[in-house]
Amino acid sequence: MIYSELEGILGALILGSTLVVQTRSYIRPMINTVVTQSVILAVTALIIGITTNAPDLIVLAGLVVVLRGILIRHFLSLRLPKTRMFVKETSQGVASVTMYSVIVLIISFLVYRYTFSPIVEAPLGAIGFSMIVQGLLLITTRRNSFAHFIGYIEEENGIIFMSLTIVPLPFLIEISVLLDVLALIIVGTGLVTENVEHPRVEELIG
Amino acid sequence: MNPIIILLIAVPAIFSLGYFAKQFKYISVLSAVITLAISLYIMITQLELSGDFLVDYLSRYFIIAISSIYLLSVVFGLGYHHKMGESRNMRLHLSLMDLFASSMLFSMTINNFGLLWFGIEATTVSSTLLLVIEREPLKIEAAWRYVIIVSAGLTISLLSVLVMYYDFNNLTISYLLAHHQAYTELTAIAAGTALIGYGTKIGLFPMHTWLPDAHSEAPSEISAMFSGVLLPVAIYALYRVYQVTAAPSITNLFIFFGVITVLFSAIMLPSQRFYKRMFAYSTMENMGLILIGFTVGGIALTGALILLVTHAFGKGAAFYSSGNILENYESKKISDVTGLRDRMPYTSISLILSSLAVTGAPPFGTFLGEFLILTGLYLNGYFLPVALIISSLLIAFASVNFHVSRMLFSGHEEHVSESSRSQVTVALSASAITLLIPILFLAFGVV
Repeated sequence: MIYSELEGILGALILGSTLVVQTRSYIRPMINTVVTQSVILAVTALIIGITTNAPDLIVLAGLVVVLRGILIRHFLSLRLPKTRMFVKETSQGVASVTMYSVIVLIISFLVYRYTFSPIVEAPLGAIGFSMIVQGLLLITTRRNSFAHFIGYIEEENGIIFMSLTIVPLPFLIEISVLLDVLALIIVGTGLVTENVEHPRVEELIG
Repeated sequence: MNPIIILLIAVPAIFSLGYFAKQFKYISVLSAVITLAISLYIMITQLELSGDFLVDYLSRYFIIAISSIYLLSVVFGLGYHHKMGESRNMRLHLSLMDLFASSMLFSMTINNFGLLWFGIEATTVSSTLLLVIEREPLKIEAAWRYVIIVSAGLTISLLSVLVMYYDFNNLTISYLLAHHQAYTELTAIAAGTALIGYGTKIGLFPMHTWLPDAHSEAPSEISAMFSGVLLPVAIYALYRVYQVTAAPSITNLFIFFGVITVLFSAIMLPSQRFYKRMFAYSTMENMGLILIGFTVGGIALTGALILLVTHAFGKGAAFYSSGNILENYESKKISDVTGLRDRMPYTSISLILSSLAVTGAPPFGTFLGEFLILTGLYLNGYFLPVALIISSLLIAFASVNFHVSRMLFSGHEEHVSESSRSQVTVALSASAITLLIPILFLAFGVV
């Protein structure tokens, strides 16, 4: 009982971090927030692993910390322009994005309520589902490469959280997903140029 | 584990280490030749497997298409990028092509929905850097859009894997095909999320936005691999999910997305200003049709297989020809290309043949494929979709061939300036194969 309440509290913290990411204008705090989110996710996996006596979830928790908490942060920080101490997202106003994200959050909870809930006995899965939607929102509303990456990591964190609360995927697949995301971040950071914003390009219209 | 399949996947993966060798170009060609030889062996012996790997009539066609386009693209790329000599970028490019082929073959043969997702995502990882061999800002932007949009979409299909695992407690494709082709509310969610996720990779409307950008900015041999085989690999993944989760409502949903994709590409094609982008929209049209064919089944499935194989070679030829034109005219604009038949007589032939092939003109295999798909749809009572698709096909046919005709017949050029012999041969061979495919299908039968 205590553990399930703890899971709920961790879930709420993860959800809170998702909303905080949406409100961030500066990239470095945004990266720090998503790293914190990944660490809370790892703690959740650890607790579920201990309570259900599942060693693969404990290993998964360690891997999430190493891959998402340390390595991904390292790779993203490497690409932050050194000439500017604070990289700011300029494409959207924070107030409007916060409002969008709260509206989208409510909609995603409702979608989960009427699609998954009647057939899946895992109310906390709604948090993972909302994280996926919030990640997509971040990608679509921002023009900054780092914000896109962070949106993508949020989506993947959402999937892991859903998996933890609904049914843990086979360990091999969890590991494959984690490594795949890391590889994608490494490849993607190679594409981040000095100009981290993505303007409209005439040749790529139509 | 079957040693043939292990070889099929491992050969390109191991040969990608040719990056470190002096003879890296020959190593890549050798890798592609061996892979094609193994694929032909699998095809000729009608290999069937369902252990760790799954090989059946369906995957054999995909495997042969992947291996063939891989070989053609490697040979074409060696000529197309000859100015890069033995640079690090060229080494990396060839190595990544090998890994890209290996990841596609892995996806085609793995017998697990979770690892199939991993394979599809691995194709994104291995192919992203292939777009940016020249490090131009426009190409980097297109690659960025590709990696972010496709990866974000594919994450949604991972949700489908999760739901299937919750429902069936098993992810082995052959097991689920044999025991669990039953419709539940959960399978509907699995099918829907797979449609959005894999649909992004396939380029279905409205998740297609990365596709025209990536196809138009990638080097031409990579555009050929993307259009000819990468997108069909994603269709394969979606079809496997569909096979397990099929229900009338899901069938209608899949057909709906297929039809609006065909319709959208037909609307976009007449106004295209860039020839590679035009062929990218044509790819969307063909992918929509192939998805419909797989969904309807029966003779439409046969049609989809014929269309898939023919399109792989036809679109390959179209992009190889586009590469030759781009090399000579240094412009992707249709209006900048005049007097093509005088300046590049052989490329003109491959371009017109390939554009006729990809727009479904008789006697190309695409015509036969499209005819069978439409017949299958009609026989299943989908009259409105048939009418919409026929209208769209006519618009697409007229648009693509009008634009190509403008490039061929407008203006006059005095001097002949063809691309290298290997590039021209690859483009002509690929377009000639599109003419042979219907004969092969009719002579030897299908499925």
